[in-house]
Amino acid sequence: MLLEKLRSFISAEESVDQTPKAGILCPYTVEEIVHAAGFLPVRIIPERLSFDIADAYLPTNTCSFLRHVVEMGVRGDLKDMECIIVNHSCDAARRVYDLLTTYMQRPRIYFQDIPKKCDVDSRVYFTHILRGLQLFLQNVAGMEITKESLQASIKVYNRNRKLLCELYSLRAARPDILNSALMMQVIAENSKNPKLLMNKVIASIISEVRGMGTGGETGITGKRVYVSGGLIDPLPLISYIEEAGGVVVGDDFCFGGRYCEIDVDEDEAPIDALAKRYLERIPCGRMERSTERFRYIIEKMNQFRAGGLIYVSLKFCDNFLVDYHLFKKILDTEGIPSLFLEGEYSATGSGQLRTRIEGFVEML
Amino acid sequence: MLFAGIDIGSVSTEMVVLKDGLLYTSVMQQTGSSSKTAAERIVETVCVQMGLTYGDFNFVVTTGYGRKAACYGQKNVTELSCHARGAWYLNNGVRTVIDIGGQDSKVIRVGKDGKSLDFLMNDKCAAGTGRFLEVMARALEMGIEEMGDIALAARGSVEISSMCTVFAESEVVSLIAEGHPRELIVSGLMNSIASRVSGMVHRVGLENPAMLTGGVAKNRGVVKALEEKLGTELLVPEDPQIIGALGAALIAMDEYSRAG
Amino acid sequence: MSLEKNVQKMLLENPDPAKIGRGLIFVLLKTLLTPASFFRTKSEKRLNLVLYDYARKFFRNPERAVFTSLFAPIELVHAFNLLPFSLEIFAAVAAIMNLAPELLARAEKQWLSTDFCSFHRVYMQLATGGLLPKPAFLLATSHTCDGTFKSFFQVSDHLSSPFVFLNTPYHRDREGVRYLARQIKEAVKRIEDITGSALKSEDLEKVFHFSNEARLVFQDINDLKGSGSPLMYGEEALVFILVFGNLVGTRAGLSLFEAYRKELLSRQERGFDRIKGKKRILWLHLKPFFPSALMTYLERELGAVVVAEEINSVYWDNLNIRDPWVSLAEKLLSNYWVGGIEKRLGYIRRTIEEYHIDGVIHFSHWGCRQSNGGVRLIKDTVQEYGIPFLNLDGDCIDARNFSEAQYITRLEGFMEILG
Repeated sequence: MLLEKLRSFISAEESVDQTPKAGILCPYTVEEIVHAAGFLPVRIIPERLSFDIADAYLPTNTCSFLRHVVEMGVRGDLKDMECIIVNHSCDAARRVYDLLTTYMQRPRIYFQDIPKKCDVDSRVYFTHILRGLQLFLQNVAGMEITKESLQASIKVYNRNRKLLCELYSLRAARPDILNSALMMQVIAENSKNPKLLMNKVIASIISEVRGMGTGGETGITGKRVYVSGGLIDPLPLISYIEEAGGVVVGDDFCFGGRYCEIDVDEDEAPIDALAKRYLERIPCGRMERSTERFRYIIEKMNQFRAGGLIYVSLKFCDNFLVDYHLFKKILDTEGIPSLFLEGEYSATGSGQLRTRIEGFVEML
Repeated sequence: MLFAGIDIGSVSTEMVVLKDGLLYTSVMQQTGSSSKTAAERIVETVCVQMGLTYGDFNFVVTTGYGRKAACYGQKNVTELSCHARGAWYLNNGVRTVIDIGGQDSKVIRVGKDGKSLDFLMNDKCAAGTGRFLEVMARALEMGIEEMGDIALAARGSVEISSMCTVFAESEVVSLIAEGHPRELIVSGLMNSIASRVSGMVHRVGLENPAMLTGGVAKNRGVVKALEEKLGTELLVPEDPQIIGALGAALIAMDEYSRAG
Repeated sequence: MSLEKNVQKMLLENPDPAKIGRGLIFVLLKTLLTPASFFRTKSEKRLNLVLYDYARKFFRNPERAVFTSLFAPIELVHAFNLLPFSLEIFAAVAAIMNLAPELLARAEKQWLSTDFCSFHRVYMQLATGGLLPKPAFLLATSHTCDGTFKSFFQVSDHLSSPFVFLNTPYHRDREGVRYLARQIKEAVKRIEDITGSALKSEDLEKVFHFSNEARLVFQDINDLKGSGSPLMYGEEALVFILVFGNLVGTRAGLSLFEAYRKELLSRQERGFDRIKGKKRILWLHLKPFFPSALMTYLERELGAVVVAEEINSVYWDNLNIRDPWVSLAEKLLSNYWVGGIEKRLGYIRRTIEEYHIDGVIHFSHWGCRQSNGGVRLIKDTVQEYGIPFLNLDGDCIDARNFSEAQYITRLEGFMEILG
């Protein structure tokens, strides 16, 4: 019934919302600046499963998520957005930017570089990059982004992150109520709806769940699993895990668990504060500090009392795939059971994934 | 004047004979394990059929996977140029040739003079080739010949998401176990093969009119699915498997006149 | 060939860098004793000697050894009188010596995906498998690819050897250049700390001088190869990088390429016509380094001679000793594989025009996403000139997935289009 509440809340507002959209691909895009320009940052998610023309632009051994993005862009599926921001998340993303600027008629597109390091020097450079992003967005919006509007956006996003973190903690305590289907829905909605609305929704879910009492472990019969992954479509994956008798108690998805950690300092100058937070957030595989993610995952697993880890990577994603090579050694040393899964963006139709997940959950 | 083209593929071997500039006869056989022997067999068959000896041919060109292993032919030319030339002979307007063979597939852009302008080959992956259909036919326990008509009669289809033939096979097995009607699965498979092939077509660039050749072109289900994917009608010759050998024979004729 | 098999056996079963260092003397002797006529040019014999001699020096002086990435600013390392050796070049040499299959098999046992570029897989195996000496430190840039950083990090971690990492920004604007220049300056300080010796400006000046001279010589070589009838085969030129990538900034590197220039000039003056080229090809990316008939077939049998190679292009300006860090930063940022694809397309256009190219071949090394992702755009650019483009799927290090028959059909098909 929480799911229905979520949906009705959102659909009521959706029909009224006319905010022009800005498409984003990766959470290193500084959404607060986009928001302050008066746009609604919307995560671009592939909807179709098959590729019709992607082969004409990117080789088949490229990440399927980005192949979907190029396909959508070239077909004109993204033309209703005001602009799109592509990050320097990886080498393939650079080529995606080149392809979209050449073959996609609309909308305008910006490339946001990200330093791999997060020392002071890199922060200075990143600040310069963010000013460039700001100029681009001002240009598209036709209005100035003021310091005050940035500070207001930062507040909204900080609140969103806080609420999401709280929801994650609550989910680990009550995975029977806050099941994965609901969590994935929340994350999905959070990536495409106005944050002000989502803050209301998430707060309401939290108070309702709290109201149901802290029943503790009652009703939870499944084996507790933590899922780590990059930009994969989590819904089918999560459903396989639950069908196999597992209970997902936490995740570090790009727009999920890792999205909400660490706030922006509201006392510092906005662009500087944003540069700092985005470089210091829990890193993804592309960053120099990517191995800090391993520590974070193990900490969260302890905090959420997860018995095993399922590590998912998109096929052909070097940043995440090579990380597992190192992570496995640490997991083995610490005696943490883990399952490594590699797949296309949409995990459907794969009896293989299911079998591996079942086998792993049985083992726990 | 007698000219011949021999296309020694990995699965089948074809030979076409031109007499006085016109298509005189064509023969198709299984290649078997030796390209050399396959060429010998087919030449013998044709010669016996026509009451000739090999020496009666003015010029012979070999093509296909086994083109160099054959002991015949004054010249060997890739199946890419041969398919372009053969298709163009049947229809001078043809600008794209899509060949889906037993174990490989290719797309060739054809110029105004029947020469190949650009091409893309897939000879590494079974998806998008006749082999894909073979594997799936086994999984569905039906004959390959039936698949096309069954797909055409189906109302709707089940999407097969796996790109790889091996994984698609297990996906099909799961779908059967889940109770999905066979016709819908077959229809989905037609879309899969069409998707792979259309991906290749778009890499080369589709210029109409386009002709579909190769053994799989006889499967009307694939033809329809591919036409839908590409958004265009496809020309399908009466005997789509001899196009390579036909092109080779025509090139033999060209070479002979060039030599004076 | 039994000498090679013995060497292979020794290398893989009892890895011992010191032994390898000693063993390389046999490779050098074998090269020395091979008659000049066996080589395509006189300079080719010299190139092999320089390559293996430097490798031997590297193995025998591990305290001065530094692992570098292919486009790292090795002038700095030479200025400290240390020995930089690109790990990618080690991978290529391993492939040349037919060690790659065994090394790759070992890499797969360690959860390294076969979708990951084989250069990285092989050098990670070399470095962590005890086949290379433990270096004083590692120096890498984030270009050309994500894999470089990931691999170097893992090697550094495994060997507990310091990793000096330069993050190349996407843009070559003023801030980007400054950011990289600052990192280079910091890197120098860090190297001073690691080695306990200060960088002397006269040493850096000397290295810059050799680097700048080599740059001019290399440009001359490119012009000699690209204009007029072919003076050497591209198959040989695609090996230049194995020496240039390590020895730019040294006298040995400069001398080798001066010798090449002299030999090519002499060929040109004599009206050299032993290379019967029918078509002039521009080759993008690298070639298979394991023993393969691909390029010989293309250039000799089919007569399509490679007259220009992207990897040999001089893409940077002279280094300025009065502003060394900015200068080096500008060099790194001028690389075609940094940032967007415009620089690469610009190079392709200029080369087609200047060197009268008949056809362009892009070698799509498996897993090289930054390069292969650009094929569509490159193809469209080449076709603006009405000349044919061939994308050749392959692997520079791993021989397993790509058969000769497949290459041959595609090359022949391409020749048939070239006409």
